[in-house]
Amino acid sequence: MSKTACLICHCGTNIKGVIDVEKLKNEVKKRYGDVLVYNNEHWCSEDGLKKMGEIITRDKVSRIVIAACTPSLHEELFKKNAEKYGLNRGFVEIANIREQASWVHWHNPGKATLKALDHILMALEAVKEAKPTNIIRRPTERSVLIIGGGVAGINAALNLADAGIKVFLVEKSGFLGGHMAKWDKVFPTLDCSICILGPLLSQAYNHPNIKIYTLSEVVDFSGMPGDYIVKIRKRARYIDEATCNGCNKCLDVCPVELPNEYEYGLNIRKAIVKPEPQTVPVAPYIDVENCIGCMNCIGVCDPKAVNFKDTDKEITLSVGAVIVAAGFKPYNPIEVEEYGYGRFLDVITGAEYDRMLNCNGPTKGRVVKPSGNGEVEKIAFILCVGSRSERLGRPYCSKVCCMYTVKYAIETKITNPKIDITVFYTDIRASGKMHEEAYKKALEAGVKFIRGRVSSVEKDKSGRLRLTYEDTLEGKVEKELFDLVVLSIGIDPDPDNKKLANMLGLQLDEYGFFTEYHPKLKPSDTFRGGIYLAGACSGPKDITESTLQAGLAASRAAQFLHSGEVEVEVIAPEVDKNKCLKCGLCVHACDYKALKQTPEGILVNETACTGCGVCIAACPAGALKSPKKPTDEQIYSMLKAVLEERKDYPLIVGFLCKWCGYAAADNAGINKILYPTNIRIVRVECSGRVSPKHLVWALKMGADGVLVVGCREQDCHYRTGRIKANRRIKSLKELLEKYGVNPSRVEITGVSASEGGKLAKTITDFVNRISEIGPIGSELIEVAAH
Amino acid sequence: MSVEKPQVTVEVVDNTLTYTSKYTMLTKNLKFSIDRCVGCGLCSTACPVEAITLGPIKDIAARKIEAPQIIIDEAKCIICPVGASVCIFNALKFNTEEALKTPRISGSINIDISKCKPCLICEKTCPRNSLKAEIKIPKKEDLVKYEGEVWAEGEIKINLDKCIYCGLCEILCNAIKIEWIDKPTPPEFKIANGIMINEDKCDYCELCREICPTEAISVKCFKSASRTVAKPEIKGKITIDINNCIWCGLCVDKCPQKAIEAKKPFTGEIRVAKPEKCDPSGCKNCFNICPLNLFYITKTPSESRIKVADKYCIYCGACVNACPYDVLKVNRFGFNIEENKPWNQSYIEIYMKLIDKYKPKIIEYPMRKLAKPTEKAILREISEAAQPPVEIGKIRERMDKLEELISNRAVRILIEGGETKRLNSLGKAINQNKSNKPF
Repeated sequence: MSKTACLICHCGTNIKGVIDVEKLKNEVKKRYGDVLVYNNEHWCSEDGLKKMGEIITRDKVSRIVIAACTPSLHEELFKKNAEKYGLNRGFVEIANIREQASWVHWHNPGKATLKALDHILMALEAVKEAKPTNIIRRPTERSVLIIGGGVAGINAALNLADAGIKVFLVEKSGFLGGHMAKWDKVFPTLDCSICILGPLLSQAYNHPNIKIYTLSEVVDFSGMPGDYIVKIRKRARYIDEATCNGCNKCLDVCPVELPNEYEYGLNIRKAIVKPEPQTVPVAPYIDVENCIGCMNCIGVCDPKAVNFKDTDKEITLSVGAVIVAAGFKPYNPIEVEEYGYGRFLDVITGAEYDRMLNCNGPTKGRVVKPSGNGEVEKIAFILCVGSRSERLGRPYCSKVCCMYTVKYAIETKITNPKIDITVFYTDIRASGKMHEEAYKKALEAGVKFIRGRVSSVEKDKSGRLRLTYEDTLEGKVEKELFDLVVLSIGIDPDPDNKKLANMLGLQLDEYGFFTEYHPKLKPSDTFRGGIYLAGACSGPKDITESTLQAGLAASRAAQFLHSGEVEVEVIAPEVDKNKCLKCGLCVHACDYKALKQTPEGILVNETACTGCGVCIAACPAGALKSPKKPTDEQIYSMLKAVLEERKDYPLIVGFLCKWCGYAAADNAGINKILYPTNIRIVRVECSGRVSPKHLVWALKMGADGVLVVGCREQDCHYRTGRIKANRRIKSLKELLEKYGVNPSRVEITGVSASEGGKLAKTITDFVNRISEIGPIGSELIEVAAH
Repeated sequence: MSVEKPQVTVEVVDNTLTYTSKYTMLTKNLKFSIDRCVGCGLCSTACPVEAITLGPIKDIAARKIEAPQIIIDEAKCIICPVGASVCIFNALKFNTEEALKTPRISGSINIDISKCKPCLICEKTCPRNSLKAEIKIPKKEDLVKYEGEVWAEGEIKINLDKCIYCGLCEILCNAIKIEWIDKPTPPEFKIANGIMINEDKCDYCELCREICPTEAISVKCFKSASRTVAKPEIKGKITIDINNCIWCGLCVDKCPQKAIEAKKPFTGEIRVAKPEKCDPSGCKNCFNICPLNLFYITKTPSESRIKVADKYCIYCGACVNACPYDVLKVNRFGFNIEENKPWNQSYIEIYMKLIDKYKPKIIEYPMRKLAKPTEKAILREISEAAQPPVEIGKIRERMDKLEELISNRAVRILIEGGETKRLNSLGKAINQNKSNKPF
């Protein structure tokens, strides 16, 4: 006799504080007499897991429902624990009563409890139809691809290589080091940046376990976790890295002069590019789009390292895991018109100022006015340019600007004690180790800190710059003349992140940074197995944090590959030959060509299948049986459980895709954003898994509205799943109209996984709209009345 | 320790200047031929380090002095392929061991041998002697064999209107003589003044009439000694001196078989912009300097004093440099480049300087769209009042029918394809079909 256990978690006060857990227990027992119900403060704790195990073995439980936090967080933990006690993971269902109940409906505890109860009832019905999950083991490649050769990428590479794992590092530019190699000194130690980074770069370049590809980009990506196939395009360097001895004679004789992007346009470079004397690798590269073929470089190259016969190469690699360390881009403040960047030569960015202070930079370390009009006596630093700004679309704090400004102030005072420095700040964020002490040091050195915003930078008659600002602590508006204005710019995501995210199947947040699995507990993981994040590509951070995250990413990747194999769920559907109409709609629906129509019937290619379920939704006869939850039978049972006795009015059923829609709902929970309780959520693999049949069932059983929330069309993790869902919903709406049902009851929309607020607003608007339309069936009365 | 550019040394041999630069691993040189140079100044405009300046072109064109048309500053010159790549007259040549295959501005010329007769017209037309016709026609004496006596009677006439001066009859027979013009001049570029037959030498064999491509010769032999006349076979080919040809296209127009195709190195226009400024005594600078002799004096002085056969102009601009009164204007609109090579990007940037109305690239900063702040969700208090009644029975009935409908294969195909228009017509049928049987 198979027993089902329902385990309700209190999660301290997170759930118990809003939801009446006793009522839940009683209601479940009322409806399902033979289900064992247990409560616990924290089922995820050591004690809780043990208790779960005891329940499984002692009570001979064969199915479990755990009503707790979002499955995205602890599903794996609970499933592994169940397996430990002999229960197949397929028989474990999670009901989300925290992120999607207690955390978002604390304004109405009574209704929150009803919603939690509905989610539990859905899970109980679903687990009735559960089937064992088949796991197969696939061998993994013991190698890691690291995208990006900055401080994060290099750190991760060294960590992995020293552990004996082969590393392939791909760097877009011609040299290693990223942004850190450009800076003069790092805060708060005031170490010379390249001095501490350089040895790491050389170590990585010469490490037997690390293969470095510079001037290279990832152009194609496919495969499964543990066995990814990557295509890299390595652009021609035209200089042989092995034979070049780094003498730099070729740089002197090249006749072509171009603006130097490395120095942000402050000086010139040649067509043979080597930004600094101590780069890794030592060989420069030739910018063939500007080279005129004069062959002066060949003329001075003793080791004959110049090779114009070099060509672009495509390299295919097989790796087990990937670490994305693609870095950031400094914000371009040209759109902040009031500060005059781009109009006045003496308004520069923080990055440009760093190059000015750098002894290898364009001015060899002297602080000068780029316009050349006179000496620098007064410098103004303006903080929060391109950060903490709703107007500029960047409401986040870039973290590093306060500290790097303090660093520049101290550095400048050391070499030029006579220069007067003023820092205009909104807050001084000095939270790291020794950061506050550095700020104190700057104050002691005589740097002025004025709390207030600069409203404009204008040219004065004397040729200097006039700043108008509000000194909020004094309560006055002042005007003052300065020679040099440095805008402390923030951190922007690299614009290439979008292409990379599309290729790797990763998500970007609303600003364009990579989204991590969980910002607190899994800051290095992504939603794709075997792919990890390191460094500023996932959000603004300084060098310490980048190094920390790189270490974590390396450790996670090593952990993933350690056993030499990875467990993979069998996800490909099976064809029921008796029901199959051989119409071929499933074949057309599949973006991965995993289904083939043959004279014998439909054949499924298991290795190509990604488990999206779009084919199952396309089938008119329901002939495809999915091993992945939820199956069509489970959806039917779940809808019945919710709609048999409607606990709310209006009652909306939501089909949320696990990548974006469901994750956004969890995000709303994490951010405690309120929205109406009227929605009951079914988690599906992709919005393309939702069949018109499911929507008809929902309406038939009494749902007032159905909301399908997927990814945005261009972000769908299964290529065109969302677009197919769009088509189906559109057609269904037209059919509903023919049958007299208001088509506005069914809606499809898309959000990104971090847009919890947007999803909350969407649900609120939808609930308001449905309540205006009226309960399901009310429009038929009107029709009848006509 | 920074490396200094090695000293550029100059050597003068006859009318060629050689500029040499010796590096440790490489020696390269630039050869400048005064004979070939025209003084167009293309190299001066293209030079990436502005090392070339024009010499006294006006005086050279006026034949007052003899001097090099360009002056290369040895201190600035880096000895690169750029100048040589724009010189369409092959006056500048870049040499080094294993030189790189950099692009060149050049036109193209091609003779279709299936159409070429051959004949002498293109060779005689070319103003730069770049075409050589090697034509083998057996001599008439070998074709006409007399058995015994040698005599004939008849008449022969050449229609001067039809004769195109292909020269084949002259090669064939000594009796025909063409009065060739040495240097064809604009506007007609006639290659010959006349053609004459020495009737004493003619034996009316009629071979010339057969060979004539335009049937300009009419021969009639009344009577002759017995003889055999063999058919003449014309063999031959035209060779193009690619170093000299500047693709003016004159031969293209003159070829009677339309066998030649040519493309100019530049597209553009040439105009006599200020005819009123033209020197009344006729300075002739433009006449002297033009490599194709395209200038001529008009018959009607009421228009401009000089005219140019602009159809064949290659827009080198030498005449503009030579004219002391700024009478002429040459505009280049585009250029023709040989092959696609990695250096094309940088070279095309340089070649654009030769084109008029060239504006350098303006770098634009990308502007990020200003995001609107997200609106906060408005919560409405939805009362827990009693739920209004619903016609759930009717809904169930209709949804059951809809479910049956969408289980139909044909309907599902329409839904998957998003073909809502055809669903609409289905809809009409649904409303009419009261029994609601699936299709």
